[in-house]
Amino acid sequence: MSAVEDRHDDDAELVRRTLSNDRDAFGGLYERYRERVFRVAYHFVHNKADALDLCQEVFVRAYESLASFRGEARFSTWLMRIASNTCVDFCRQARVRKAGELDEGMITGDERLPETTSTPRPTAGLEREEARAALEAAIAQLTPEHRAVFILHAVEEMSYEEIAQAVGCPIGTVMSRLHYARKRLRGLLAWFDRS
Amino acid sequence: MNECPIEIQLTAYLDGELPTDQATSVEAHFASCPACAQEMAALRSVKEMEGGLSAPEVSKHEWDRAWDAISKRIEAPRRRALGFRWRWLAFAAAAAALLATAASIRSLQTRPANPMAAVPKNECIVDYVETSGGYSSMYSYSPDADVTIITLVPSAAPEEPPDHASGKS
Amino acid sequence: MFLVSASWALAQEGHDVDIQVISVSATGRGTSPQFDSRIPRGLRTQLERSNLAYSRYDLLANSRQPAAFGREVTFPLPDGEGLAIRASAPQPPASLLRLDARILDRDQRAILTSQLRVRYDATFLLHRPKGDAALILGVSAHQPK
Repeated sequence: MSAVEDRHDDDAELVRRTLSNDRDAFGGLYERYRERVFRVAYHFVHNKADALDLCQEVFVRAYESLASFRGEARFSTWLMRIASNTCVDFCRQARVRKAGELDEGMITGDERLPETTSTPRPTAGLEREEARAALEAAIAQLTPEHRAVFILHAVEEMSYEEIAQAVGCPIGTVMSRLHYARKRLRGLLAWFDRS
Repeated sequence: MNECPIEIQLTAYLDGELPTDQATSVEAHFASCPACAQEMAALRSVKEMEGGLSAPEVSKHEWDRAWDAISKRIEAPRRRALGFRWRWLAFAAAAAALLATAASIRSLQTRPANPMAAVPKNECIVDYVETSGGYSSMYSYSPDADVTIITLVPSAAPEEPPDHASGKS
Repeated sequence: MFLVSASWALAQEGHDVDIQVISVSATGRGTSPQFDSRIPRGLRTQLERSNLAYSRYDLLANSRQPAAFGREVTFPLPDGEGLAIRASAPQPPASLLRLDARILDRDQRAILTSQLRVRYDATFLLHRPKGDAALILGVSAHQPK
């Protein structure tokens, strides 16, 4: 049996035990997936405290809806769906928050993004740290829906099919959103190209 | 001459998600289409940057504290789990909606402080940026570069084309 | 006459800070940018470090206006636009000035509103791309001379 299938069986066993009121079993799922959920949340909100809060919210929602997990898809994919929905909801609600009242600051994106009209340039010349910072600032400019697809692919290296299952849309929509996310990022990053 | 592939095939090709026959067709197309080759190079440059994304470390103490909070909530009486931040958000959303209808500014966009650099060396800290009248902004500063920049651009972005897979328009 | 009147008015209100705005036109794309020799060295360094990809920077204006805390001063920009800056007194513990900056369109409507905390003599950049070129404003606040 492959490692992936082993993990799938382990997760299913932990879910079964959790539904039998074994809270330690849910703790096992938490330890196994907390970093993945945190990474996704962090790249949505760029704030460690908010990301940890979102991480908590994701696991609470997962616990509350665990009975609906049928085991046909992988638990990780099911959990990523909850993570993606939770983060998208948070970003949508955060759009109406007053900026001055945010602690530490959370980057929100806007719906309409500027596209450079000049020929887009590759970012080969950026120093690594500056490039990372520029990319993270640009990701924050994506709509929550585009951000979800981009983060699940770029950060979690999920396949298009897995992302489609996680966000609940056709693979063609995943492909389209990821393509336009990269185009928009390219447009924003073009202003910060030294080469 | 081949017809240019639909744009989104370029991203799928880059990610190795195209079936073999379509991938072969796209590769053959690049040899004769400088525009698509250039577009691919630009997309590849973004993809190459993706590997540099990282998240901060979380200590064992922080993980344990988060687990304690989760445990308390899942053991609490069954009710809608809205934490303090989320209740505040709901209140702020209602208050902001009220203010927005009284304001005369169009396309209000709010951008809070950038958390990526706490206090940059040049000590120019952006606390608040707001645009209107069809503009968008982004700002960044790098502590090492000593530079704080706020960029203002028109926000006329092209519409995403219809989802060809689902047939929606 | 205008300057005398302005100075007298400020003498009545208080001259708490000097606001400086250096306007630069940025054009072209490429490595090794060329700089107008009149651009102050501090701003030139900022532009070099900024990763903006323009190949040529030319000075348009270098203006400095006295201001009282809480009072807005306006700097004219090309195409009938304006930059309005209001400084507020430094607040502890970091003793950073608060600057409120607005870019106004030709109808005097704010298209950008921002709030920053800055130390004296530090410069931040406002970058306004227009097609392949851009207007870049280096904004700083100084102790009165």
